[in-house]
Amino acid sequence: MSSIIEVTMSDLKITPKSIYLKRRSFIRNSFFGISSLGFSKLAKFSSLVSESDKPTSYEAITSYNNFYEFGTSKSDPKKNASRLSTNPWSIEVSGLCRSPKTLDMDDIFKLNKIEERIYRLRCVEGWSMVIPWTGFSLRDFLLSFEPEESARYVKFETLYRPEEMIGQTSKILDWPYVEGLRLDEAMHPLSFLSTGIYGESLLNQNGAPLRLVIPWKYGFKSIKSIVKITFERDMPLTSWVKSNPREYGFYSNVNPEVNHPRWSQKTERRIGEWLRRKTLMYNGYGEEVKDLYKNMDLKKWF
Amino acid sequence: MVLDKKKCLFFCWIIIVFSFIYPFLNNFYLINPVESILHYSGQSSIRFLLLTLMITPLIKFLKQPFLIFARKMFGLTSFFYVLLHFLVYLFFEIESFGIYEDFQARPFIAYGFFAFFCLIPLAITSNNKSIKKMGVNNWKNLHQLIYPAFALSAFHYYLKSVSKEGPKLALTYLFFGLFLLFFRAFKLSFRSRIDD
Repeated sequence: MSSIIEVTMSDLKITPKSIYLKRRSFIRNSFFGISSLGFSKLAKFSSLVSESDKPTSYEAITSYNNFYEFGTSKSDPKKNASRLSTNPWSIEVSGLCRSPKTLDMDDIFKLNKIEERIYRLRCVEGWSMVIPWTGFSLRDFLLSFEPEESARYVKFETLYRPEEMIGQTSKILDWPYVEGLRLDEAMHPLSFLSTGIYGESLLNQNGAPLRLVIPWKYGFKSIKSIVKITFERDMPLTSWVKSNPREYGFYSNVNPEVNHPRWSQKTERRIGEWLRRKTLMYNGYGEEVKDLYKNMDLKKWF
Repeated sequence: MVLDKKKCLFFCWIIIVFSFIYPFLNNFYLINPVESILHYSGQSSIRFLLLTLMITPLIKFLKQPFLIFARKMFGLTSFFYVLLHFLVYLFFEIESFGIYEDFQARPFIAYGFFAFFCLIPLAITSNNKSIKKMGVNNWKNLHQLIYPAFALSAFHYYLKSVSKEGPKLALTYLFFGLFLLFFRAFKLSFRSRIDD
């Protein structure tokens, strides 16, 4: 296990800010926000994305969103998210840990070293993107609160503020949005907390100021605009499991073998492409994460 | 305003052409064009099917038999949209596995497919020649297929919409369709009683 972690960590190299900014402006200034030279340069910085994983345009990443707090249509979040004020912001970390704390964003930036990670994102609706995130490892962050031995799960909650999050005035989900991970999943080196995309601070529609990124799970696990993190003994009841347990499971690992009644899970459309491509087990991160699910029936624990 | 055939045709064309340009006026969503085209063509097909169903009672109510042209035009427009819907699905949605596997994984697609299937003979026999060839009664009987086609499309959309945009619109379509069906059933029985 430790060897897997080491290999993975060395693959996720930190990009120096100056090179990063140069690359970013190159990509964003080129026609359609993309260029083949920019891609191959970017791809080198993370061996976990292949040559065929070209970063999705900033325009698409910030205009095509599922964030039901701002409406259910994918154009709604961009339209409605500007009403939300993310300053001041506080994140309460509590539960089964020895040093619970409430932090603001300044604390977060002081305590954590910001790095870049390019991850594939696969939505349960059968579309995907490649996103250059900035942020920090969830593992190091969680360890700083000294979780107790009895803690087996981590629960995350999104802000509940219906005056500013217009989608919360309709009862489409039981607000606030809740997500969760098994502690060992949260401690996996791929698990990430993000504060930015393409080197820019997160926009509200992408989950500002702090969101989770779990690249081997369907996108809805990567909870946005987090205000509360709790270490728990029992499996948290997450929003989508509560709303439709037949269609959504706690784990929600990307798995082409488990069907969904409305969206194809065998194939996906990469945003910016016309034809669908095959969806990979664990979204292509199987080598890194498969040990987490050893001896588990993935059709039962979907 | 006195309605005549010319005005009626003009009015129908306005509606149809408007349905073609509407998505471009209204920020047609281009980030995932396949998804947008599928959504819009599906919606338009159901709406034109409803318009088609509304014409028959209107013909009886207004006693304007030339409205039959409007029925044909709306019916064909609905078929145009469902054909587009089907072709986009065929070329861009099913890749490495077949239609049958997709039916099993996503049953709502099967309902949509059967709806499309019901509309094919109606589109083929929508011309006057076919009416003459088949005889009015046979033709009328065949064209009752529009009811199962409508029910299947609305159910197809209902299954697709439950979690995302919510089932309200799908249920509105179903309610409208049922209303028109009841209206016709009532009319028919009313008339047959008078005939007796």
